[in-house]
Amino acid sequence: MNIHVEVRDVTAAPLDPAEALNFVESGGNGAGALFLGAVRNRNQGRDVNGVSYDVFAPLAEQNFSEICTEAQQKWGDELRLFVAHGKGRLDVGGLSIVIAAGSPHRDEAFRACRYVIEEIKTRSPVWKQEHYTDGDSEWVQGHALCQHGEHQHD
Amino acid sequence: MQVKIQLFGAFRPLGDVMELQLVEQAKVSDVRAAFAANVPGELHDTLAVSRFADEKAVLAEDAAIAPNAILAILPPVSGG
Repeated sequence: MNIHVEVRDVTAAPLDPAEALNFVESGGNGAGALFLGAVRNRNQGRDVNGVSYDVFAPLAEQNFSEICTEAQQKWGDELRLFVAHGKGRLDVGGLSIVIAAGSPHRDEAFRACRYVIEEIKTRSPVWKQEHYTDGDSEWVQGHALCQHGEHQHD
Repeated sequence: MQVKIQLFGAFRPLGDVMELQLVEQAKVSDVRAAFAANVPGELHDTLAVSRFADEKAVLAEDAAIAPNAILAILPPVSGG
């Protein structure tokens, strides 16, 4: 299998960039691209000391797989992709998402990595609650889900 | 018939799951109406831009709901 997706409880085990790069390596792949998302200490003028990630894991993992398959359709079946998204509370600097793409050449790896993170941001069932240094917490305003991937039961 | 709605994001303060009683042969739009009747007014704007889903996909508003279905309410997303 050349796609790995998961939602991980980051309060139990942190996300691991080395694991992602190892997964996308293969003898035929001369390029590997890595994207890391981390909790930053400031957002929209407010000082942040942590973020809690809420995830509807079954649908999120299916959605990650669909996005990775789309990337393979765009940039080739040789593409190997790793996606792990965190669930639970992280402090500033903690990794919330790790994406790696391996491909024969660099252009496909860079493009696929960018595609996967951008699609996850607008399509995947994940929510952030920011915790501020003044003790307040707020759910981050996000992207309303569109019709993509919709289906009707028979 | 009864359905369970798993709550996420801005709906989390209401609990992890909400149980709703619906008419037989209910559609997602019926779930939305019953859900709206059970959430405080300050969440109605968020509900208007939220979608219902099962573990496989986001559901169309006219999709039929099976008895005892377990669905999820998905407010606007902010992953990454």
